[in-house]
Amino acid sequence: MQLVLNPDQIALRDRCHEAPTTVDEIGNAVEGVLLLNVALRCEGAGKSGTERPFSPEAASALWRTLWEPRIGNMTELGLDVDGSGLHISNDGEDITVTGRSELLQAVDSQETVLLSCEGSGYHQVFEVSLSEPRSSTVVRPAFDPSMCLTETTFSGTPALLRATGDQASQWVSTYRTMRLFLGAAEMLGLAEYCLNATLVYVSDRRQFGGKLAGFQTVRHSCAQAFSELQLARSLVYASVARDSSEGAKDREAAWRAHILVSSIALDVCETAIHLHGGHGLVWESGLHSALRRVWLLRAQEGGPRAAADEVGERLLSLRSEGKERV
Amino acid sequence: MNLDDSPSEARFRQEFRGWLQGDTAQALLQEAAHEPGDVERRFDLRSRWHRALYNGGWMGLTWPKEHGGYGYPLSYQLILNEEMVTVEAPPIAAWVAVELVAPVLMRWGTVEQQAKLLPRILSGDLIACQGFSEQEAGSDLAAVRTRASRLEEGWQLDGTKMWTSWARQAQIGLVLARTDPTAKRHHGLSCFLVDMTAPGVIVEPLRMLHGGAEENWLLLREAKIPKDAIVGSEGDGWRIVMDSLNLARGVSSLSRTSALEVSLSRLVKRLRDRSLSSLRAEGLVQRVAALHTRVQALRWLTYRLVGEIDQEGVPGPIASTEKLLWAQLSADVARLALEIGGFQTLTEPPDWDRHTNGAERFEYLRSLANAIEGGTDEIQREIIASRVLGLEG
Repeated sequence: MQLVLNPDQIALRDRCHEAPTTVDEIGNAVEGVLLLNVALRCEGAGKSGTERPFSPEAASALWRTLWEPRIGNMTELGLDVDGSGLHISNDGEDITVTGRSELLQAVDSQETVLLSCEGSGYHQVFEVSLSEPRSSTVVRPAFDPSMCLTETTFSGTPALLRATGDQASQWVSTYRTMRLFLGAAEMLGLAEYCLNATLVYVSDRRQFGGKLAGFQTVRHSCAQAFSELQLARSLVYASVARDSSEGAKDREAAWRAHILVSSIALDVCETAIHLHGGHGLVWESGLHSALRRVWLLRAQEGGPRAAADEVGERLLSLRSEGKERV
Repeated sequence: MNLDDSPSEARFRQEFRGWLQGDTAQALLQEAAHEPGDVERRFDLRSRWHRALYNGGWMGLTWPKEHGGYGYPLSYQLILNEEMVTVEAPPIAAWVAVELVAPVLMRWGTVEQQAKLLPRILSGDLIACQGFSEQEAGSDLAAVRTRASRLEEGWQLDGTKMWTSWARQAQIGLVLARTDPTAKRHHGLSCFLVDMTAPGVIVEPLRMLHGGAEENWLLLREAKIPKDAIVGSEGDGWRIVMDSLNLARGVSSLSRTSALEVSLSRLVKRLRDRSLSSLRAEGLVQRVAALHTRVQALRWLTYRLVGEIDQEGVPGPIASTEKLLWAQLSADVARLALEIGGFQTLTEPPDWDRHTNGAERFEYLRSLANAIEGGTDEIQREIIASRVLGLEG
């Protein structure tokens, strides 16, 4: 066992301030190492004072880096995994899709998306262009202004079948798991940024004849936030450092990371705004930007409550292999 | 990071698993499955567990070989603890001796002190206590007033210690006393090994809020100890105290995190007997998931701490956070365990034979001490704020 980061990993984390928007250094390693590198990257960005571990463009690039080896030559960003409002028609020659989908994605992201449809227990993944004449899209800005909700209505829009059956299920499962891991890593980085900004602020700001950092309640709030981040970081490291070939186990690890980091990141970001006093409430402070991003990231896959239901029910043996105990 | 066992670690894990399945271990584990909410009975059971581990060759994994240990890296202790959590093994009774006193002796003791005491601490035959705190010297330990006066034949100790864990069961105590009354605070302090049966050494139980008395008053009334009872040199007391805390970090952290995992595991088992609808209605599914996740995270944080100690030799910044987080989390688990028992747990008298032994009530009340002993939550936060985050006070 080696329970601490090795020098290369430490260097990766510490190098992040040099290139805050590229993902080149993460590389195309096996999943476990890749995810750990992403986690380190986010953490390093937070420590260096970078408001976002990834710009939306860099996030898109990261997804391509992660997704291409698995699906091949993909430029898509989003995946509407619900697909509950979609109907696929296949007359043997043409495949078309009808219905409505919603997709949360970065503003100005790619125009082609994957749609996952599950019917009669059979899973399929299709590629659809949002710019097709037979589709109409309404874009709504999200809580995080760099993201948007794309509501698309498909009216017999041509679709390209990309995967079926077990392969489709595996793609979707892997995507959903990795989305949770990446979300946890990014939330961690966002919270790091907020805490570091706060430490600088309370060390400079003077009130009542002394620095804010001299007041016990302020110091202890910072200490508690730091401790909670250590806890979150430990779980993220351990979750992503494993070889991700274990399928269902990864999913549980992803849920746990999502549960814990969602809670801690939100608390730390809110505490940071609070400790900045009125300055934290101002748009230019940037702290709210991190907070908004955390809210969107934690809402993935039904949010931490849904993840807690999954983890809790398995823990209590209420659910095993998808079957529920009454 | 690499969380997989090395080949030798894997062999070690398999061997220990095999021992845990043996008759000796199984008999004790079955007894421990219904561990009593009674201090004296717990001590007895945990002492027998200690001796079983020792006889099986599983104590002293990280102790230096010259002191009877195996000299393994901390990862072996981590593996042992992981496996013990799996079978819900109890902690050892003599943790003060093994985790606090023994490391001090290894660092500061004379060859004679080490030869006389360490083997017996390791085997569980010698119980040691730590006489540091006083009524007016809790968080502010530098305010100790117990006096050590030099005599021709040795020393005389006068004073009163408080919160001395397991003093009634101990044969020896590591006592902090002031050897130079003119020196201020952290200076002029020394540590001594005190024979707990010597004249002038009086132990009185300190009944705690849970009804038990693992803590004690240690009254030193003209207690005379020999010259060679001093640990280190005169005036080394404060450094020994600080060492005692630092040296214990890794192993103590592993022990208490493991115990917490066992507590949670037992709680989950109790809940599995309940219906899905009731669990969901009470919001217990999500609460358990959240707790489980935090306990898992604490385990990994503890592993990082262990890794740092193994690599650097001293604990890093994580050490300060671990105790704070563990104390809070242990209280959360204990609180939930008491809560799910409902009115019955609060009103049914303990019945050892029926396994309704008040353990949940005891654990909950006992958990309130976790945020106080070994450095209060406030002290931990202050240490983090000043020494880790560099916030000027």
